[in-house]
Amino acid sequence: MPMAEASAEPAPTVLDSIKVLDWTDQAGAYAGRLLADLGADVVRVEAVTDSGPWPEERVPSGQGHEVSAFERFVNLNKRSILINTDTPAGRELLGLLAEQADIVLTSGEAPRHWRQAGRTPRKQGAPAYVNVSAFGDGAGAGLHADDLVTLAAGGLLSLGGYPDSEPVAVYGSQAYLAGGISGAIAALLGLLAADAGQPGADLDVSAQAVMASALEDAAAEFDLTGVVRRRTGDGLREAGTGTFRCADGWIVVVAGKLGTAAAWDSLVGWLCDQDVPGAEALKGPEWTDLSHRRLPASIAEFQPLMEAATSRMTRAQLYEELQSRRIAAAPVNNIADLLADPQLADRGFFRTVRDAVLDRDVSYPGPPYRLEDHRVPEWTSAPVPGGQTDQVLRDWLGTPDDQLGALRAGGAIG
Amino acid sequence: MSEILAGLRVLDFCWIGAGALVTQTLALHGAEVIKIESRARPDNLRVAPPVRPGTSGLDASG
Repeated sequence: MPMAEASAEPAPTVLDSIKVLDWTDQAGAYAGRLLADLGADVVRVEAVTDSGPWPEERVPSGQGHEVSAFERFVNLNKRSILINTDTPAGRELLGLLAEQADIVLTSGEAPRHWRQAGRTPRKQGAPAYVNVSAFGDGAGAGLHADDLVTLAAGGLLSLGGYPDSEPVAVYGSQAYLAGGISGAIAALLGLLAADAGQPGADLDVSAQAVMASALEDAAAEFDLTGVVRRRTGDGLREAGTGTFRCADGWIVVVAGKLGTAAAWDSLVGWLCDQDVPGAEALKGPEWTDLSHRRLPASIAEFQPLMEAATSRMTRAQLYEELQSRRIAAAPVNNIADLLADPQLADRGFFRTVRDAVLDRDVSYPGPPYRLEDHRVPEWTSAPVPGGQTDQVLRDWLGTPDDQLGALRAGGAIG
Repeated sequence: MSEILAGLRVLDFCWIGAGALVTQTLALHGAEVIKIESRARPDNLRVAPPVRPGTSGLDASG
């Protein structure tokens, strides 16, 4: 075959031909986004009866109202269908779409609507049905929560901030995003089960449990030592590791616990090369012992020596200097730094999409992975609600135009 | 539902946490995960706290 013809065949996406029906709210929508990034045809169900726009990170639309930037982010690469699920014909359509879907995703009020309609996605034949909720099924099913409540219920909130003040939530809707990631993992597991000939799967994701998973070995520590892990702030816990003030911000350096002995020696060598008065003392043999570097007196001696050097250099200078000495270090970047970051640019991480609602170009973070033999699909804007209603019904159900008109006239679709 | 990844065999050369969380997820769903380790150059997590008081060594870390 001539080379030109061979190269004209695009590589497949990972989820080519996989259909996903996504009837989620903020708590689960990221799951569908992740599947869309892998090439699935993700159709977002917008119910005519849905409550107003999402509250997170509102930005002006330029058309006299605000939109949720979070909503535009988690719904990238999806299509949207507007259905009136209060009508028998609308509910019937939803069931027919679920029959065609490989994966059905729900969160928020959607499961209740399914039950009221006397249906479940699995009964409709979808191989994998994933529901993401704050607490999951069980004794706490139905308890109310948002992102912050979920952070608290899952224990993560107790570990953010300083020991002598109130807990501080990590930025962003991390419980929603983490719940969505687990939702996508559950969906892929369900697909694998279906591929293996299993009868399909109901997959129940508890965001509280996802947050508790983020506590890593805190439960093991309690079992082994009786110690309840508490928030520590960002103060130095050992000489060589921590956040240090520099000429234009902050730099993080790790040459301690999980760094190597060589990194500590290299850091001390760098401080001496910078002619920091007193740095030579760090060459003493006691400083090679991690337990010595963790003593409060050691930390108190190290920090001013370190900041004497870092405070006269910029973040960029320190990044280059310390990395060239094989020391794990990075500036504390803000979003403007990231958009200009050469490594992320080299990977094509940020992508710009013409947003269908905002009618302007907007940059979004891309998938963090690159695939060897598969294509990451071109991106499309998060949809206008109901923007592809007719197209989806034609594609998934083969609905003819006259029937589309009748459905719309009857109020079943928007 | 049976374990979804039963029959899948994974060789795990990961260090520290990020890779290990991947293989743990696979193991939780039935994959056979074999972690390759060295006593001469053990994974730092093998000697990282928490450990039960009075214990030490490569098998003490929680």
